[in-house]
Amino acid sequence: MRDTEVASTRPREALADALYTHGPVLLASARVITLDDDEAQDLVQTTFEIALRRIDSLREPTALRSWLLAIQTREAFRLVRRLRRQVRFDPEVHEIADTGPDLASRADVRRALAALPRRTRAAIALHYLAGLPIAETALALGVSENTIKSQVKTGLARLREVLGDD
Amino acid sequence: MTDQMPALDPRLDDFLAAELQRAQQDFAMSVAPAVHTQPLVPTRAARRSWRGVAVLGVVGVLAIGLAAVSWPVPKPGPGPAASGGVAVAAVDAIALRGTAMPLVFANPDGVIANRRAATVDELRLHRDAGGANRIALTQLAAGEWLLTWAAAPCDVRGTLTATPGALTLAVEPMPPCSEEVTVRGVVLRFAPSVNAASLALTLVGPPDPITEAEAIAVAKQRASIGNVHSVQAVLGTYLTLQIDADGNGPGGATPAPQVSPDLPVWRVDLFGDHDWERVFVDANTSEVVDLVHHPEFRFDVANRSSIGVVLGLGWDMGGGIVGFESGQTGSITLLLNDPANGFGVEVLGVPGCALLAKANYPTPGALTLVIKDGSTPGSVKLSTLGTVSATPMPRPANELVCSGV
Repeated sequence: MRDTEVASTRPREALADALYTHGPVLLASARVITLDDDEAQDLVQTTFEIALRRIDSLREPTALRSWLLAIQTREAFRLVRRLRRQVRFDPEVHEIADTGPDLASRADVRRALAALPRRTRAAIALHYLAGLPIAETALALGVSENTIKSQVKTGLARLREVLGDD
Repeated sequence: MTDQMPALDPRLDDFLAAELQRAQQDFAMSVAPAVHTQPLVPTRAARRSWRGVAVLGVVGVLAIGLAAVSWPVPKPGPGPAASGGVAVAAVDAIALRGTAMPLVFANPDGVIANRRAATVDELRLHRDAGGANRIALTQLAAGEWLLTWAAAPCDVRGTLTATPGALTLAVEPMPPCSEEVTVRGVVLRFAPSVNAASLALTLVGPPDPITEAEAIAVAKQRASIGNVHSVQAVLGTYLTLQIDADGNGPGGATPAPQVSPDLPVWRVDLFGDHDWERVFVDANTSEVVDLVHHPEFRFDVANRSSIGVVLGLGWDMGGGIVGFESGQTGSITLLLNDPANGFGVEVLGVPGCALLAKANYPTPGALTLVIKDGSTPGSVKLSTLGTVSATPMPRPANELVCSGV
């Protein structure tokens, strides 16, 4: 009985620790996907709430990070968030990371990202920011690997086009 | 690592790196000092709900961890002196989904020389210090003391009164809401004349909680949006209600009681895993009272088109879906955080959720939303009338659903 109790609490403890270990990359990815700080924070919050309820279904504990990213990505596309954006105001006011030397350039990148479909931003965030392999990125987004490659390739080309060549 | 993917534009690479750095800084910022612990007081309700604590308690940790992202760094040090020699300053900002808890200091005798919000790490180390007393003063370093107390994410404010012999903390409202018991804390430096170890500590105790049966009865009488499916958790005077958007309960098998439309609602989220709202029940009167009074806006819908549609609604406190068969009418009531924010509506086809029309109504007045046939088969167009029915119409009964994008 005692062993059972201990075992049952470990995934939850791991999840609590995951907030600190994986939280930053989840938040950064969410910000790239949503381009909205409030929505991103809400998204990470929701991700952990869902994860907490479903932690017992996680078959491979070492895959916690990609599992969380997959939950977050799926959640990012739920209808409720799309609807909420309709009543979000001041759409031109955004937070830009104030670290680093070139704020203006990052503002340009942000605008260029905003011109990409959300799914493309999600693919870029998962693969390039969070470091998920293409296969796991595809799994998180529910599409094939070829689709991911195509989306990213097209998206990056579009991004360069919007940014222009320096 | 990139599986032969194209290389990133250096500007995008920099952007992603900066975003990651910003997120790391946000998480490292130790501003929201609240750490989950198990309930420290085995109240009647706590005993009843103990099994849920381990689960929902971690949510408390997560929520509070994120709270660090949401709020600015508090300014340490004494605040401006208010009249009567009471130094008042909010040194703490703890958020759970937008609810902040400022801690106010009443320090007429100058017992507290300085203070700052406790860090998450400090709280994690000392989260059990309060024990059954629910409040503790622990020495961290020479002259530096950590005051911790049992709290709830939905506590809205606290006042710490310091006198030469005692620290008294009153938190409103107490006791904890649902199972999300947390520990909060502040690090204090005392005046040289104060013997901190001898200070009497008092956490103003919670009122006797109402029983779960009483709470359910009140909730069923007073809940407003959708139907009350079940009371998810009751601890103390708070209860969290499971609200079902379509009125059929999960799986559609359990009819829930229809309830009257006058409950003040704090938060409504009518989708999926988040179909819940939290209300506050006065322990003495068993009346449901609101934490924040949100204006109510009602509008009517008339589907005069030849097809059934689902309306996806989004407003500043949540979202919802309501189906309207051809010819059906009904009233929809929203609780808005700010009426000027209005609401957005999408008309979705069924099945398949094709977007047929959408509109935003930023400053809602009297409004009837009319759905008509569009110029092509299967399409619709929206128009409005500047009137609304004198009394609310019931929501239409139908089986229309839209499973999302």
